[in-house]
Amino acid sequence: MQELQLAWQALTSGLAIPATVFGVIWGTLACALPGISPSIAMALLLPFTYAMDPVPAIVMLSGVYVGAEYGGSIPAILIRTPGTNAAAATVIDGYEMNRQGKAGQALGISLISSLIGGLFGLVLLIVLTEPLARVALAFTPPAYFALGVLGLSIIASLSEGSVLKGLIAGIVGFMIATIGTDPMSGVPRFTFGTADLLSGVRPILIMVGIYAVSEMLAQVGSPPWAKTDARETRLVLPGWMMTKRLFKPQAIGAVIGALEGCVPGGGGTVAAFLAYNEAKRWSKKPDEFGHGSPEGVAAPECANNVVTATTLVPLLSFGIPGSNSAAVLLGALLIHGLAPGPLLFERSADVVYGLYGGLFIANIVMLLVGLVVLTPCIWLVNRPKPYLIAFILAVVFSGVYSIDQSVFDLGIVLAAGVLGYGLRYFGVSSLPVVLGVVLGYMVESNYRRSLVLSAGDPMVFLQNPISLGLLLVAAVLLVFSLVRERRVAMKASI
Amino acid sequence: MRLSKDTAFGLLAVVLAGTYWHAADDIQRSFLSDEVGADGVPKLLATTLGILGVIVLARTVGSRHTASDDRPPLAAHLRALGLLLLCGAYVALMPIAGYFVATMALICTVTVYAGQPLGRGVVITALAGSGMLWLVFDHLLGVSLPPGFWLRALA
Repeated sequence: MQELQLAWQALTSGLAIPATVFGVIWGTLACALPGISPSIAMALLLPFTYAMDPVPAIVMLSGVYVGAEYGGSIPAILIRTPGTNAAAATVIDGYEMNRQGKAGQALGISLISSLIGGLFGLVLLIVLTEPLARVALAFTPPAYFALGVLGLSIIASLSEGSVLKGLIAGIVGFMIATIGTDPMSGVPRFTFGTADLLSGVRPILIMVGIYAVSEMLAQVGSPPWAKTDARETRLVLPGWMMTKRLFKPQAIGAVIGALEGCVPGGGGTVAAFLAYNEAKRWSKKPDEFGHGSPEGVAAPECANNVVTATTLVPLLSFGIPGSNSAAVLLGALLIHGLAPGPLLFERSADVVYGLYGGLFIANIVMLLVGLVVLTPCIWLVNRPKPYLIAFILAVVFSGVYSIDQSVFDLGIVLAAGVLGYGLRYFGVSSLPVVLGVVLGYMVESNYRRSLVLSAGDPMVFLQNPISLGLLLVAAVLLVFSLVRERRVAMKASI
Repeated sequence: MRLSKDTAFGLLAVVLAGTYWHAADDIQRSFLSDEVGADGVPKLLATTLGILGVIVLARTVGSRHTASDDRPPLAAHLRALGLLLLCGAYVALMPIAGYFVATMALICTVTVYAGQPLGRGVVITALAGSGMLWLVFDHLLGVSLPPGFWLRALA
């Protein structure tokens, strides 16, 4: 009760509530532009927090984070372009629903699932910060390696009928992740003498190319779209039956998001993909996944929004930023002379409880912003196809250029677009490539770190209980997927 | 002889594996390197890719073309290539002509290329769209966009 009072006082004593509202609006709209990541959206506002009191400054940035993680799903559903890395899994079924004239329904599911995820994560943050923080500390390089392998293992079940081709696509993604400076020795790899490649290839460039650019390349040669029904251009919130159906995938997303969020480096992207995969596995209608399943939108959206709250667990408890966005928030805390750690809860309880209250308000504001902006967004993407293709490309290129002000990045996006188009041609899912790009660095660097720490003994991966557990789960998932594919193939041949 | 899609995919995988292995072999050695080495994981990836590619090829031997092997018309690929060239021209043009002019040209040409007849509406939309994006990215988000030679000359 005292904590509630503290939160209320912190929020009402200054400009905290308006700052939160502004933060959410800024985050949602900025991250609806491809290329603007949550951390960029937060960093852009960071200079403005110098002159602010600590509570409004911190809650404004956390509001940006909440809005940004949600905003990324809007272009993912409407134009097949994930606004953020974490929204990549939403593309799969969200865009399919859009193509079936259910954009409003997909956006409604995404909005409500994000809200549920955000609020669930907040409850966990308040109640379970201490035990969850222990999970974060238990993660060592072998466990991170195993976590990456677990993420890669879902390639098998996301390969849409051909595990072999999916594995090849996953390796291609992993190959892209090896471009840049070697994580251990620092020597350049596959940079071909270009300084632009020294820092590697950002996953968002590959995602934007593979999803958005390849889609535009395919669309320009296909017939014009049918005229859209006016009813299909409105936001549709899930009804009672749909809410019941979405409960299970949302619960799966919530649990996976909670665990991934409190592990530094895990992040919303891995959580979203794992949640998608598990939702598919436990669904009564697994065949709908990949063809416009509402559950396929709910699970990843719930998961990546739980992460927005649980990623603050290691940040507040130990000062470990689990993601780029958490690092920006850490910067804001330090600017105001607040050192994260156990003492933060004692010395600056107003800031901590103000942050909790701010996150609650941010989630509610996210819902309101969604209700206001989504219908115009759907209307916008139902404009004539030639205009839409031109504007999507212009927005994508502008967003990509804004990341590093690099024309070279635009070239990478075009190359990724060609890769995506090629994958379509060969009937290969592009998801494994994305997973390979996202997880490649994590897997390789932690694999090699583990071997260095164990003096080259590969048994280190089996001796660490977390690593062993995760590797076993990965093996089970892989075998399960292979057996399922075999059964499907046998049924088809009968 | 016309290759099936799977055969072409398998061949591409094998060629990519070979090329990637060759590039991995050229990675500079470092005295700071660990046991695995900077080329260790890439070579493992190349080997796995090569093996998987060979399996795909082996599977296609003797198998008949299926319905899924139907190819989209060549015209569709040529349209895609045309759009790709327009995008490539945009990337090349932007540093010289500047963001505003290049983006306006991109919107205008792509709209027409995608089937909208060239008219006043297209030009006005391109002008307004480019201006709006420039305002959002340059002014609101503070991204430094290329001004182009003409703005530099004016300045």
